[in-house]
Amino acid sequence: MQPIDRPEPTLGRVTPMENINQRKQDAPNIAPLGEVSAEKMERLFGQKTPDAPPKLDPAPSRAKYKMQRLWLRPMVRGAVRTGVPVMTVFAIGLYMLTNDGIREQFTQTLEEARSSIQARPEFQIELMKINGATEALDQQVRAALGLQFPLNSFELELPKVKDKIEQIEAVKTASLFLRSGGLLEVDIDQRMPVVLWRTGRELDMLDANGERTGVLTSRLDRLDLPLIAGEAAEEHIGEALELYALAKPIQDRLRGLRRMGMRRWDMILDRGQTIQLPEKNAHDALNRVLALHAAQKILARDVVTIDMRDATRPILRLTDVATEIIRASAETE
Amino acid sequence: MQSLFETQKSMRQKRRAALQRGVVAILDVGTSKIVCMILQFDPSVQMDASSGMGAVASHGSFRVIGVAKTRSRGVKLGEISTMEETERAVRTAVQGAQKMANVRVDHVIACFSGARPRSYGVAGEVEVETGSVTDLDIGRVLASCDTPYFGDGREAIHAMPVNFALDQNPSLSDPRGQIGHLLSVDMHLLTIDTRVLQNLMACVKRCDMELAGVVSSAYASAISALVEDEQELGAACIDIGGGSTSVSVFLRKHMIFADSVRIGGDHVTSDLSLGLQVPRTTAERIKCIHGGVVATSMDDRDMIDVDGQTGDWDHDRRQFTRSEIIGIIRPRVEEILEEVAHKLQAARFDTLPGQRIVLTGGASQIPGMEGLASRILGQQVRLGRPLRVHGLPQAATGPDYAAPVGLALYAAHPQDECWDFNVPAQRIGAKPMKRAMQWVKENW
Repeated sequence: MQPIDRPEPTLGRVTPMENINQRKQDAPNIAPLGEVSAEKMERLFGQKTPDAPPKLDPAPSRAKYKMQRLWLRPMVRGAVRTGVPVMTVFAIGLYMLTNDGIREQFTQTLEEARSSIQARPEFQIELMKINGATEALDQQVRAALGLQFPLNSFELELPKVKDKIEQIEAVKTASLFLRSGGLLEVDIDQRMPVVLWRTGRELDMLDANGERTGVLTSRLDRLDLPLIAGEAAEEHIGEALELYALAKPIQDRLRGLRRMGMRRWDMILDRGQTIQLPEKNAHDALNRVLALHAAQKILARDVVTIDMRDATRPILRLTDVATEIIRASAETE
Repeated sequence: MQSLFETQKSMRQKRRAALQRGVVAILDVGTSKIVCMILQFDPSVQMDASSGMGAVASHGSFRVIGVAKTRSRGVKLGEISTMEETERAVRTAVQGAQKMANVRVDHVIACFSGARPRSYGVAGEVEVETGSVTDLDIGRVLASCDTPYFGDGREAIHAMPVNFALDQNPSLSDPRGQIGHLLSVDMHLLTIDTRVLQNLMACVKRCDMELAGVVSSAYASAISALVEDEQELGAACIDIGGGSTSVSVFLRKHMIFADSVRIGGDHVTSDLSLGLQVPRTTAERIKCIHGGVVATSMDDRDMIDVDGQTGDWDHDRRQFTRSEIIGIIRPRVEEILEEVAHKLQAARFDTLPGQRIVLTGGASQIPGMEGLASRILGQQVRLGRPLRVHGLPQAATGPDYAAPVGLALYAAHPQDECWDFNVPAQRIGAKPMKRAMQWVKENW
């Protein structure tokens, strides 16, 4: 008996598989017909295999027909085209608003995006430059603002900073600019003191308009500025300055001007001398005193007060010693 | 089911409502094709027309905004035989037309050719009450016509006053306002099988639409294919359709006779199908491409491949000469035309002043038809095409569209019919309140 699982003898024949493989090796660009797909056949021979018989009855179904007729209603169409999207957006918005988790997440992402933008180096302020201010005022402004650089420009509220700078008395106006490169530029229009005003123990520095620009404790700090005193003296600084200018010949003796009774000036000289000037025509009166001084050295004499309030004649008050001397000489005569 | 008279009246109202909305659909339910057209009316022209016209104002210019044609299914001899199939075909046509027009239509004016139409000429006579003829007088004279017995299940689809006579004046088209004593009328009644119309109404209703008018296709194709002087002098329109051939005779712009022959182009196709042993679709194709009715010697050499589609090589590779095909077609066409000639003879067509015969319909496109028809029907035969209508696509201007185009013209200019006039109260049994109002109107 022969075993039945004996392989079939090949007898030198080539199996179809071997044949195909052999052909592939010989000509790799030509595929045997059995391996060409249906699509490729269509492409190669320009013929399509019919996939389904054509529909004989193209009638729409009853539901489809009714849907189409419904869709042709202008109201339905409008409702679907605008109403449904609007309602959907509205519903989604409402859901997101009422859901706390989503809302928090939303605000958080918003905050993160915001801070990530703010943290960019373009928005950092590195230093502050102050233009048009003296060294002292510069220090004062920096101290008043107390800014710690580097600083984020979003945290800096320029109107508030401007207000803060302008609250300093010596600053008339300030303008702030954020320059590129992280520079905060402050242009200051400084008030320049022209006169010192003694109020009690302190000395106020005033500018030409009578605005305070600062406080001094000692007269010696600003010897270049004229000194005035008296109530409401700051309202007549222009007049005081003119009188000061007029009194140039006796400048070395001049101590200051005192406003008397809120209406007229007394000019105070050293040695306790006072020139009482009238309310009106104070210039003329001072000119006359200066003329008297130039002619007769009146201020070098023993005079305490030269009262020029009466325009017709100056009235002098002598010192007690001079009075005694005059009285004694009169008795001796 | 309410009587056809009431139905016609309510359809009139629906049509008026549809025209006010400005959109109305036309549905031609034929044996070989179903055509749906959507008309849009210009409201401004309507208003002009309604100011000074008669009982039914003629409506002004319209425009075709949607046309769709589909193969007819379930219709035999111009009558609905399978409701379901026909409904699907109507749905297809209506949906296509709506898609093209992008407008929804709710009102449909339909026409069909079957239902065995039968013509009656009736006459009525009445005395004018107030001296001059009023609408009411016309209603009364129309009501006074003594109608013959139509037969069971038949009712009038058209009842058109054709001619009025006032005293000795025998031919008036509109006697209203004229002074006279004795008013008489000739009325043309066209009756059909009620069942067929009811089927059509049910079919339209199943498509979610309302029927706003029903017209015999004989009438519809005549008003589009006959020119004005043909209608005036006397002419016959023969619409050779798929399942039936409708005949209508016009005189003085009114239809005076209509009938139908229940043979049409489909019978030619079935003859070919039988004679050549091929499917109907192939036969139809051969008829349309190679058909003819006059064979010449050239046709003997014209070999036509006929594919039987059976899979049998010998059967599918047969060839016929064109003469053989003509030999099958011609007898059937002759039969149709002879039937038509009989109908015309019955209508005493040869006594009319004008004897023009106009052939329309799909089958009138067979080459040589004109010559054959003139041999059978008389010398004055021409092929008719429907009137040009605003907005109609070129593909829908052939003679096979005579009926739908005529229906569109009818929708724009409807003929006054019997039910457009107020028939006196005692005849139609109106409500007492209305009668009281009438009495007040007449006596005060």
